[in-house]
Amino acid sequence: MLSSDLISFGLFALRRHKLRTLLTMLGITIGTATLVISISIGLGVRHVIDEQLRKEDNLRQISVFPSNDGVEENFDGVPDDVLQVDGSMSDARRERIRKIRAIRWKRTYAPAAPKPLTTERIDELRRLPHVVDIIPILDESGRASLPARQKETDARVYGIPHDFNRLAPRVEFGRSFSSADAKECLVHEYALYRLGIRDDADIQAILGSPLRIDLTSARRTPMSLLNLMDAEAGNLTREETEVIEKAWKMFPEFMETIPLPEKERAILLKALRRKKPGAKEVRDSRVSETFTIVGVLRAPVKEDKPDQGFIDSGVRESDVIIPREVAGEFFLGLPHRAESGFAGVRVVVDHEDNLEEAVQAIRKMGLNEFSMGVFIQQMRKNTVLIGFTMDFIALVALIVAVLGIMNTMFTTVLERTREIGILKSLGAKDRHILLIFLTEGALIGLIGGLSGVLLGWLASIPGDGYALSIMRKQGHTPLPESVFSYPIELLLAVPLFAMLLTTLAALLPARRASRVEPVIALRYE
Amino acid sequence: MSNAMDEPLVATAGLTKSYGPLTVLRDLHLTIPRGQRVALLGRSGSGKSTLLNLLGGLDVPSAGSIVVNGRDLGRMTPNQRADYRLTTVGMIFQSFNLVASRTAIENIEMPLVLAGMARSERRKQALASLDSMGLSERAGHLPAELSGGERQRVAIARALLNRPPLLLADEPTGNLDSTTGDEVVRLLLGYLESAGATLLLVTHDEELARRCANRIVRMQDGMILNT
Repeated sequence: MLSSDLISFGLFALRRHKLRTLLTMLGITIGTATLVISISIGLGVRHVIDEQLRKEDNLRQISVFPSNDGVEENFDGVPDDVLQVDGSMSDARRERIRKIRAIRWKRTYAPAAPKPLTTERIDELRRLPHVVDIIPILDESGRASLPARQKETDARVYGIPHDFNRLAPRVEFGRSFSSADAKECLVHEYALYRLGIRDDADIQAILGSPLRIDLTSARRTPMSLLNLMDAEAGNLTREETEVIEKAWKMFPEFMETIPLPEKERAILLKALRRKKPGAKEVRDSRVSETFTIVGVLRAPVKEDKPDQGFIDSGVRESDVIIPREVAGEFFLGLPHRAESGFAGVRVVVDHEDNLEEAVQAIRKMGLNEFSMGVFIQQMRKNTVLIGFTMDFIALVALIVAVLGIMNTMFTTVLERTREIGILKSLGAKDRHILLIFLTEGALIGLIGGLSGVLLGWLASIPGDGYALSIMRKQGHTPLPESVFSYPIELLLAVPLFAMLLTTLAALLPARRASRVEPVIALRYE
Repeated sequence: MSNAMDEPLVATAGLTKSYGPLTVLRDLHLTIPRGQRVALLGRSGSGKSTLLNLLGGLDVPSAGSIVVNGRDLGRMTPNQRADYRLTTVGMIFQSFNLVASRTAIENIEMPLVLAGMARSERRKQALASLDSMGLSERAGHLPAELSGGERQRVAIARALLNRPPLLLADEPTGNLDSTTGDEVVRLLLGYLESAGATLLLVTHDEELARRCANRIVRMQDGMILNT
């Protein structure tokens, strides 16, 4: 019997009872549509997440920060008067209050030793398996000045890769860096404004001029004096800065002669001179470097592409940008940086599959870390879990539909008993009868499955619009084209899977049909 | 030296068929030479239809042998019996046994579909067969749209399509009026004459038996009374 005739028999049988066929197929159609929607949205969401993050390699990066060991919950080094708990109370309450007083005293006066991100520790990070790059967060505050114009201002200085190409659209005048070790800088137009460079012609003229950056390691700076008086610290002349620094140095001596009654002056001086237990004397030190202004950054505007990572946001908030290789060396000139290390680093691994291993190694070093990749992997696992749940529900719907098909086909075999007998009397073999009914089952699955794919795709159109509108309201940019993903493998596999299920459903009825005795079947009414 | 053509087409020996405790055929010995037209007469329950079913390969004997065209049907596999039904025997039933949902032409070409013949070729043959029955204009009609005589002619066209050497007819005119019955008999005899085929006709009708057959075999209680 030809395959085309088997298919023809199957289609004929389906057309004979159109309503029955439609109802039987509806279960398969709905089941496969649900399955398609479930799988496609799972794939689509994962694709959107991965695409967004892969644009800046976020999936391979781990943000690492210095950590504290944590305040120990014991009374070592805590003064007796702190441990003294007054009042009549139970022993349990007294102990609780004593513990709280000890912990709070230690937090204030004896902070736990930090694990700083020094160069040694960074080298240790670099040696970890799968680590391919370490990007320190290079961010310092200091003073910027134009030596030729005797003007200076506060400046936040930031180090970026010299070939960071997302900066180019914002370089309003001049150019970006020429090389990784060039002592060049890009200056924010507002920083120039504060330095008195205001006309466009002046900005053009300033290109190629030197800009001096002074960084200091003092926790207290002369500008602290301005803060005390709530005065503006920016836009100072060189003369003003020098006088403030001079006054700052005189301040301790001035306190000795402050016009208070003697007793009160003594109390004030005692309080001012009482050092924190364990506090270290920090030498005021200063490092300076001069950079050539090669470009001027304009402020961001609405039309700019949104920030895509920490470098973008760092640039946005900075006054002066320098190449990171130069910045690292420059910033480490500050003693506190050499001692306390960087505020944070980005660790880049070779492949996102190795992220978890690297995170564990960093944790073992006692450092704090955050990885978008690990977070995303967890989200992916949750997405997969949700997806599996939805897929399971869709499969249950399909199985119920398949059981319905099996029942319908048993009925069909019974109805066509006489027809089977006639076919056998004419020379049909058992396998012909088996194939006829299996083909019918397969066709139900194929047609129902293809209809389900179409239905699922149609249902995703409004669903997609709704999901994208939610994302738009949440400010998600750029918006993906679709949150549903329809790879060709899905569109082929689902109908084939449905066809397999329905063919299996038809197996038992088909076997029963093939075993019909022609003599008995011919007498069947 | 014996010629295969001299061998009887049908030869049963000790043929017995039982359904549980009920024995329907008992130790039947029957030989039918090629080209003979045999009428099987007997009352209801005599075993005529059972013998026909066994000769048609629709059932298997409980004991004994049944050899048709040199092949023992009792030793065949179900698939071999199916091939036998397709190629060696044509069966005509009182109730026509047409597939109700298929048109006349589709019913006729069914054996060729089962044989795996290409669509265009089998359609050509089926139309020719239908034409020989004078039913060309009824090709697209369902059995329910045909008269009894037309249905039987379609069934005959189907049975004769493969030009079987053995024709088995079980009360072929039982549901027909006399005029239509005569027409059917004429068609059957016409084929038998032209093909030299062998006929085994089961009937109650003595007149029909005399018209169609050149040998009458009577059965009673599962046994042949005469040979």
